[in-house]
Amino acid sequence: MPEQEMNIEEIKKQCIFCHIAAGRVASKKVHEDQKVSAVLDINPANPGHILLLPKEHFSIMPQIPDEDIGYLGMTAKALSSTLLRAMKCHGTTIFVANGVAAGQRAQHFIIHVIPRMENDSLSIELPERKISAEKLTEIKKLLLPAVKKTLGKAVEDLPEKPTETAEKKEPEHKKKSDSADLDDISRLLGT
Amino acid sequence: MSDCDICKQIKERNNLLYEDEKIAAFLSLNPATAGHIIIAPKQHAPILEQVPDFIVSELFIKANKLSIACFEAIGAEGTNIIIQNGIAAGQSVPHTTIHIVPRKENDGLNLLWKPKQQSDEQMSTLELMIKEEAKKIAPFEKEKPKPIEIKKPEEIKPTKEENYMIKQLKRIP
Repeated sequence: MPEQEMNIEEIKKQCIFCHIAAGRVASKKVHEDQKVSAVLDINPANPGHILLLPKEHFSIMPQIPDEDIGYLGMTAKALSSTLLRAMKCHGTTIFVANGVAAGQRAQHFIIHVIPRMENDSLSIELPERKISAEKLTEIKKLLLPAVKKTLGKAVEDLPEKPTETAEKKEPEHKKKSDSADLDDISRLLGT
Repeated sequence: MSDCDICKQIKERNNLLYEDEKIAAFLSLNPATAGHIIIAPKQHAPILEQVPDFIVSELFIKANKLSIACFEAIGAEGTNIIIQNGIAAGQSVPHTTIHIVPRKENDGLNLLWKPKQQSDEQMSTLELMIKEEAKKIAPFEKEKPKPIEIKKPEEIKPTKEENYMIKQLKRIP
């Protein structure tokens, strides 16, 4: 649809991170190659906080082709090692937020690579909550068909799993009520 | 490693969702939110720097697909992908893992940080320090192809034609 395409072009023009990645806006660039740019965050969680940006515009991770995601991951690892050596930090946090609900604020996909020190008072901690075995099994049942769809296969050790022929019928996870629309999630960021 | 919780969980297939030759993914037993998935290389490696590049690439590709599964199957409105690399980063088990945390509005999880503003001078110093070190980033390590098994040369069996020739040679005039 031409109208939608125009919107994407419009978003790219307005996306500050596209301009930063392309070097059209001044930034403290620490690494660059054909596919990615890495710049210092002007609002760092800790000094040395790096934003790793793909040069191509993507709003959220699910839109990114495998090859690019793999490349971004390897670059994040390389930048983590860079920080460990350059900043003499004790660790790194690699952080991605997909969607406003996850705390994403920019409309451009970003991998944060953050230097960490002991007791740096940074609150990126994952709480460890208790969960019942029943609830875990319930979630597993919901997730397995989707994992099978996205990864090509999933572990099959649930005794009550339907037979192979039944599985081919695309299980209920397609139901609109409990499935989120990825386009909606990325659109929220564009506005 | 036998006493590593992650290695153990993979071995016991405890709440496993996916596994292949190099990677396994399972549901966290102490989830930050419902549906919290952990993906890890099967080969024991305490920190990210010890995981070969091509495995890191696979981990990210698969983390993305697991995140998509969370959007599709459990109604996640967002996901966080997090690597806690080192104890200072909150890493609690000595095995590299990627966390996939499904998010919903008002789920009570707050992972946002307060900016620690730096002066322009400080930023420029950091830029130089990091840039200098980043120059050492080498081409990514690719998986080595598996060694090709060399077959023992088969004994050359005489074909029918040869047999005929030999017979001809052996013929006594």
